Amino acid sequence: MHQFQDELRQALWKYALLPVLLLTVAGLLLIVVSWQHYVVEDNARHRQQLVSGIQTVMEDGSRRIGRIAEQLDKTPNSIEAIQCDGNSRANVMAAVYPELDSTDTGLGFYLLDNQGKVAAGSRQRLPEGLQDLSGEWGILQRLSESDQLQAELAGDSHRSNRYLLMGKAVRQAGRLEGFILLVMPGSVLQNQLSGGKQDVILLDRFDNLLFPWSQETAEGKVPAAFSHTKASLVHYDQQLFYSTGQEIGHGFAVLSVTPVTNLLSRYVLGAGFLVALFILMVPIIGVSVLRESRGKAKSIDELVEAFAAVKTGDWTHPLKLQPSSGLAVVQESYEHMTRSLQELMKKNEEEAKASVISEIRQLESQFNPHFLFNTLENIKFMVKLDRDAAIRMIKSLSKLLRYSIDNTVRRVSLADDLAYVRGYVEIQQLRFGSRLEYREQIDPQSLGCEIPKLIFQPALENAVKYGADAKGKIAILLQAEFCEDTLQIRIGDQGRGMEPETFARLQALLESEENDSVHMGVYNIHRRIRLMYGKPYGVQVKQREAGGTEVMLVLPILREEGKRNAETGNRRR
Amino acid sequence: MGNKKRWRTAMVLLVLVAVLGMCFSWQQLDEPAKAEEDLPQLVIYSPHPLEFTQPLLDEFEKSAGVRVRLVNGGTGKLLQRVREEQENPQADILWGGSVSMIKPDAGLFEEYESVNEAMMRPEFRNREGSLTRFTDVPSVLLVNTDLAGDLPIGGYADLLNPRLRGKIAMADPAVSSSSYEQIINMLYAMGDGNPEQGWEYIRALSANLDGRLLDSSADVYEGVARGRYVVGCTFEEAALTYQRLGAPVRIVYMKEGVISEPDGVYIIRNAKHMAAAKQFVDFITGHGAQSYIARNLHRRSVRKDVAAPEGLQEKDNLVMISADAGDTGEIRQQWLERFRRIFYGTKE
Repeated sequence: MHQFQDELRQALWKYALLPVLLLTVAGLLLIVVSWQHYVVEDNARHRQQLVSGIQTVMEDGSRRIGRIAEQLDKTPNSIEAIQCDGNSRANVMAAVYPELDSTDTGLGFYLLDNQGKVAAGSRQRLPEGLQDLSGEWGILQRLSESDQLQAELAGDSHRSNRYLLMGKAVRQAGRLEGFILLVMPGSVLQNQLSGGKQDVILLDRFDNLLFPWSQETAEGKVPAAFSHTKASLVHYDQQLFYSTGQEIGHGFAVLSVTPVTNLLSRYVLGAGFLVALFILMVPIIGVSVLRESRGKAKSIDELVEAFAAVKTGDWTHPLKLQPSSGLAVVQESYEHMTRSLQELMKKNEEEAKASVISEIRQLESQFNPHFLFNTLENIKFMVKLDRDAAIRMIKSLSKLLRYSIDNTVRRVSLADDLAYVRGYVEIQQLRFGSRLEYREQIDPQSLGCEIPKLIFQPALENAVKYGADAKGKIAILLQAEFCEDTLQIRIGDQGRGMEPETFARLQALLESEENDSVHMGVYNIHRRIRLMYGKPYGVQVKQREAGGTEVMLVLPILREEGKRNAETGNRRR
Repeated sequence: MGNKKRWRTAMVLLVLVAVLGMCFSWQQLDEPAKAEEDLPQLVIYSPHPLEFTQPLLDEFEKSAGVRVRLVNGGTGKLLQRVREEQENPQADILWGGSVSMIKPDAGLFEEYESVNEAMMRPEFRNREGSLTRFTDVPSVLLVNTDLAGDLPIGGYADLLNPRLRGKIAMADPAVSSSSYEQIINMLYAMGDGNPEQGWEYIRALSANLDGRLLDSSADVYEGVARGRYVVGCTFEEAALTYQRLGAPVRIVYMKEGVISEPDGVYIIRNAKHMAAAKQFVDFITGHGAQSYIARNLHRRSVRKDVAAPEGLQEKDNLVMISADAGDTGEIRQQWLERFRRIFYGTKE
C-alpha cells in the first residue's frame, strides 16, 4: 500500500543526503590537500634547502681537503717546513692557496701541526671555542686515529658560535705530521636559509645542534620527542609540530619542524563544523523527507483507495487531494467519472423500477372478469327475486370496482383493505347464501400494517371457487398475525384441495421467477409481493392433512406512518 | 533496483576515497618514531652549570659514541631523586656534589675503580670504592675589589668586621654543598682543628650576616661580581671563572686554613647503562678531560700529571687543613640543624 511512499522517501533521502555527504567529503579532502600543501610540501622544501646547502659545503670541502692533501704530499715534511723556512712556506702555500680562494664567506681553512698548533690558515688562531684542540681532545683526537675525512659539530657552550668542522690527518710515511681543518660557522649556514614557518636545523647523531633553535632543551639538545628520520607529529611543550628528518651522512641529520598547533586546531574546528553540519542536517532532512513524501504519497494513496472503493461498487467515496499536489486534473476526472456513472446507474435503476411498476400495474389490473360476470349474472336473478339484495350487490360491486381501479392508492392499511374485501365477501354471501361461511381472525395490532391493495383478494376468490367440501359447503378462514418480523396473512378453506398435479405445478411456479406461463391468481400475488418487497417475501401454498388448502402471504411489517398514525392517534384520543 | 545499487556503490566509493585520503596523510606521520636506539645512552644527573658540562659531554659523546641526556639540578634535589629511584634507577651517573656531601649516601652508588686511579693524587684516591674524585674545589672567599676598598680581607676573622654587616654573601648550607663546605672549613679553621670550638665563630658570623642567607651558591658569586655584596663564601672554580671574565673580583685563600673538598663522579647502583657509565668515569678522570678542565673550566685536577689552572696558586703555597668529620650523615644533619638554630636564633 505504501510502496510508493517508501520509494519516494528513498529517492528524497538519496538526493538530499548526497549533497551533504559530498560537502563533508569535499571538506575533509580539502583539509587533507591543504595539509599536504601547506605543511608537508613546505616542510620538505625547506628541509631540502638546508640539505642541499650542507651537502654542497661538505662536498666542496672534502674536494678541497683532498686536493690540499695532494699538494702537501708532494712536499716532504711540509708542515714542519712551513713553520721553519720561508721559502718552503712560500712553495707550499702557493700550491695550497688556489684551493682556499673560496667564494663561501665564512669558511675557514687551517693547517695544524701534530700538536694542534696553527701552522698556516685563514687566521692566525682558531676561532673562539675551538682553541683547545689537541691530539687528545676534540676532532684532532678522532683525526689522529683515522685516515678518513671526518666531520663533526663543535663549539663552545654559548651555542651562537657553533661550527661544522671537516678535517683530515696529514701523514707521511705513517708518521702523523699534522691536520687539515675546514671550519664552517653555523651562523653562516643559518643565514643562507630563507625564512619560513618552519625551523630547519642541523644536528649530529647525539642530538646536538649546529645553530640555536627555539625548541632546544636546556642541555642544548634537540628534545628526544623529535625523531630524526621519520615524518611525525610531535607533541612537545604543549604544542604540536610536524617534524621530518633526513640523514645526510657523517652522522648528521637535517630536521625540519613546522609548528602546526594553530593549523590543526583550525582543521579540527573545520572538521567539527562539517560533522556538526552533517549531524544537524540528517534529522532535518529526515523530517522534511518524511513530511514531503507523506504529503505526496497521501494523494496517491487516496487515489488508489478511491479506485479500490469504486471497484467494490462504492461510487460515493470522496476523493480529496491536496490542491498543491498537481493531481487536480485527476481529481476532476475522477469526480466527473463517478458522477456520470452514478447518473447512468440511477437512470438504469429508474428504468428497471418503471418496468417493475408497469408489471405490478398489469398484475393489479387482473381483477377476475369471471367474478364480474358471475356477479352480474347473480344480480340479474336477484333483480327478479330480491330487489333490495340486488341493489346492495350493485352498491358493493360498484364500491369494490371503484376501490380496485383507483390508481392513486397503491398501498393501504390492512384494516382499510379488509373493509373492501368484506364487500366482496358480502357479494359472494348473497350469491351462495348459507353455503358460504366466512370467518376472520385478525391480530388487532396488524390492522395498521401497510399492505398492497387487494393483495389477498385473488386467494379469497380461489377459496370461494375451489373450497367447497363434498356437501358443497364453503368455509373460509382469514387469519392475519405477526410471525417473527413478518406479517402473515393466511386464507384457508375446508375444500377437497387441489389435484396433486395442479398443486405440483403451482409449487414449481412459485419456485421459479418467470411470469410467462398461464397466469394463476396465487402466482400473481406471489409475483406482486416479490416485485414490491424482494426475495424473502412471497406466497406459500399448503395442502392441509385434514383437507382444504391454505395460502399464506408473507409480507414485511410496514407501519403506516404520518397521516395514518396521526389518525389512529386521534381516534384513540 | 540496479539504479539503487549503483547509488550505494558510488556513495561507498566516495566515503572510501575520503577515508583513504586521510589515512594516507596520517600514515605519512604515524610511522613509529623510533629514534636510532642503536646508539648507547647515558643519563647524567649533574648540578654543574651548562657552561661546565657542555664541552665535556660534547667531547665524550663524540669520542665514545654515546648519546648523553643531562638532567640539571641542585645537588640535594638530585641526590634525593637518586635515593627515591633506588629500585628503578632513571639515571646512570651523578656527576658533581662534594664527596663529603655524598659520602653518607655512598651505598646508593656502584663500586668502580677507574682506569686512571693510579694517576690520582694520593688525597683524591677512591678509598670508599664508589666515590671517584674528578676535581678539586677548595673553598675560598671572593672579594669585590671595587667595594672592599682598604678593608683588610685575608681570612675568616676579617668577616666579623662590623663594616661588613649585611654585605657578606653566603648560601644556605642546607641547599648548597659549597656553603656546607664553608661551614666545615670555618669550624676546623677557627676551632684550630676542633670543630666544637668553631661554633663560636659561626655564631659571630651569623650575626654579621644580618639575616641574609641566599638560595643558591650561584647567588653568592654573582652577587659579589655584580656588587651586591662585598665578600662571598664560595668555591675556587666559580671565583676563578668570574676573575677570568674580568669581573672586579679577587680570590682570597683564608689564612686560617683552606679545606679543599673534591667533587666526585658517582655511578648509580644498578644503572641501566653500566658500560657507558664506566666509560664516562674513565673519560672524565682521563688526562685529556682533566687537562681541558684545568685549562678551560677553572678547576684543579685530581691527577698528579695535570698542573693547576693558570693563575692559581699551587696548593703548596696555601695553608691547607683537612677535616676528618662532617662527612657522615648524622653529623651533617646535626651540624646543619645547629647552624639553623644559631642563624635563626640570632635573627629573631
